[in-house]
Amino acid sequence: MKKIILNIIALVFSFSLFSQDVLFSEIVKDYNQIDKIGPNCSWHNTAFMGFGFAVAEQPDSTTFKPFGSSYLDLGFRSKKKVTNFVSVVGELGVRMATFKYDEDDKIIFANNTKKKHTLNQIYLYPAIYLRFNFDVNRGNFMGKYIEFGASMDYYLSVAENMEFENGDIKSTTNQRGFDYAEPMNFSAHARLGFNWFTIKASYRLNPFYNDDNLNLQEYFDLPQYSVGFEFQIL
Amino acid sequence: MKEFLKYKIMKKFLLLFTLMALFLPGIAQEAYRVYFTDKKGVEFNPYEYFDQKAIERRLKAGISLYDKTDYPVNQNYVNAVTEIADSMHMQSRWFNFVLIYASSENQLAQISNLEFVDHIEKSKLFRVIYASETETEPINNSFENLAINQTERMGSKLCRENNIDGKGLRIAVFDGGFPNVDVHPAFKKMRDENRLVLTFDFVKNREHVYYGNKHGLMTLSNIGGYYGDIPIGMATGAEFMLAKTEINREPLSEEEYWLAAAEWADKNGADIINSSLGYGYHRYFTSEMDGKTSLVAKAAKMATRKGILVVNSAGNEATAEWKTIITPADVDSVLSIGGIDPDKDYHISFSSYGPTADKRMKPNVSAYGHVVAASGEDEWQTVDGTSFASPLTAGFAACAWQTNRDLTNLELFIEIEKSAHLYPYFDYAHGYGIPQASYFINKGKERAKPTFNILEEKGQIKIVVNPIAYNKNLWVGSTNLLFYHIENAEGVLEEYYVVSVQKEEVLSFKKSDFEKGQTLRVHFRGYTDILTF
Repeated sequence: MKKIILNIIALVFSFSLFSQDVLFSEIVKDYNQIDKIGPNCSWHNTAFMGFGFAVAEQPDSTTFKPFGSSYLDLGFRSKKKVTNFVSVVGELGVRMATFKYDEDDKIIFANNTKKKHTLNQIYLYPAIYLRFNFDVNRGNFMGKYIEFGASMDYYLSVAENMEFENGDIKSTTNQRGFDYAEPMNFSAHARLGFNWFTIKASYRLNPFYNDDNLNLQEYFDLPQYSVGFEFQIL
Repeated sequence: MKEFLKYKIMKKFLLLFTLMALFLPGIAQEAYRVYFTDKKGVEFNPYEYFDQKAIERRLKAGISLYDKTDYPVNQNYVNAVTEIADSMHMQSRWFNFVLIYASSENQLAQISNLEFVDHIEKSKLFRVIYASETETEPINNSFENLAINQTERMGSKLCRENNIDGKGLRIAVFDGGFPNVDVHPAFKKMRDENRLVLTFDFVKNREHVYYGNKHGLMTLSNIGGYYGDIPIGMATGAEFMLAKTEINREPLSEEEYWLAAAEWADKNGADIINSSLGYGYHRYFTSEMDGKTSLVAKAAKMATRKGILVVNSAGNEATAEWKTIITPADVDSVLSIGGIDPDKDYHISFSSYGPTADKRMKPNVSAYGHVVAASGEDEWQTVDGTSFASPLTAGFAACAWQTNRDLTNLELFIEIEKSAHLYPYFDYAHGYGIPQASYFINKGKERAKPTFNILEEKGQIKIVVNPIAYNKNLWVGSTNLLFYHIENAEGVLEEYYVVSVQKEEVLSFKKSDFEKGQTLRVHFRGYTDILTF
């Protein structure tokens, strides 16, 4: 106890003896070393948000509403710089997509009129891209780039909603768990980037519906092309 | 997956990527610098080409009037290249190139094949950084006091008493625009005395510069403008050349504008260039701030070779990720200016730190980074940034040069460093401190009497303030600031401090904490002492 008190007294005494009011201090670190993390550094991690539309083809007799079939992406992206010119980008995203069929007022059977027909999807997509920068000497700045990549789209949820009208009677159907929807799809992507903003075009490589399990002729494939934009949110 | 093969994937891929390629033409036209092998056949008469002041500057500095870098670019070469390119933008006599726009590899190949083309470099687009900020921590100095003190801290009163106001010196100011300089009362004396000798807008290739970013209006006022009767810059008798080198709203600019303005300033007899501009994050890494990499660094270096004193703000990056100086403040022969907080009399929070990437000391000296500057058509405002420390120093430099016109630009550079209030102490926030006019007017610095002692006893190093100097009742403002740093054996600072002296025994170190070759350097009230381990 006595020793502790003595130590405390010595400590207080030393503070009063050597106290100084440091107004400004700077430890010179190696400021000029390039960081490992940053837009044009070894690693760059960012979250992103995307929005886009399906580019509707006109297969068979059914069409999709222009701009009605859209998607929202949320995801995380990690870039590994290989050279000043080339980077590899890994990405994990979730897409919430809605396809709106242009079938309003279509008489389905008897006097039932289809008023609304949508297909909603939620899927997880790990993707990998190769990024090519136009400008190799650009500081810690993303600059302009073009990317080519591919993704595996794992469907977490597919739901089809329809609304019918028969005179005053309205009815809705909501179906999930289709066995004729492929649970795993593959897509190819191309992006043109301007720093934190990218324009994106995608193409689904395989048909969404699985022919083997699909007996209903009225189904046809969903649009395979989509275009949109993405921007960093963090 | 068997369905996968049914589709003509490759065909659709090609379609997709063709669509993507449609985006590209909009950005395909690029700027290139085409360097020539020689200047054969160019006739050059320096007495016709240069302003008389440019000739005098060269003769004084012992620079040849027939230096090949001063010969104009061969116009036959320029014409031949321009015929192939989309357009020609500017030409540099110093570096013997022409800046062109081209949109195809074929054009570049044709140009490369011309026998007089040495090589082609892609021009780097970059974002200009105006080294100013509008917000910082509150500062208590009153408006009028600040207007007085921003120059008085460097000894403006002494200059005025000795009729030193930069007369006979010509200062070129590079900035983003000079709106209202032609009407603002801060420049009435300048206009009345016809000391706005030349203007040029390098962006639009015309003489009118009284528009654009008001940053130039402000910086000019801190070189030679007035707030009422109070001079807010020291060079109130100097001549001025105004160069608009930046586009106000364009995010990216060609660094060639700065070079073109420097060549113009040289040709037309500028003695000093003030550039409160810098280039950093968007184009370079801090590791490239070595004074050799950027085109503006090369241009600034060449300007100093022509006998011009280039004064550049250090930048406002201290609190940003970048933290250090921006180019061209990284050039060894450019006088780089840090910012001082007027209320504290030491480093203002945002002022960029040194050293350069190759470990040279920067900034060189400092001036107030919070000032009164002209604004609007007839207003003044307080504004923050090393953008304003730089013109304050440029104005000071004009006065200093006026006291001894025999000095070359590099001799003046060294003398300005020596005149600074901390010299020979330095650090990477203040450089050598704030330049003092008394050094030039009184022809040197009085040898300071020791104000402290460095004592060694029982394994301790103690800094003890001299009792004669110790009268804290008289200590106001900056006078109780003690600066110290620890330098390694290679001459690079490892750490540095500013301490408020509260008692005689200010500091105590364990001797064992120092490594062999390290130096402890301490400055207090004009006196510097060192201890090397």
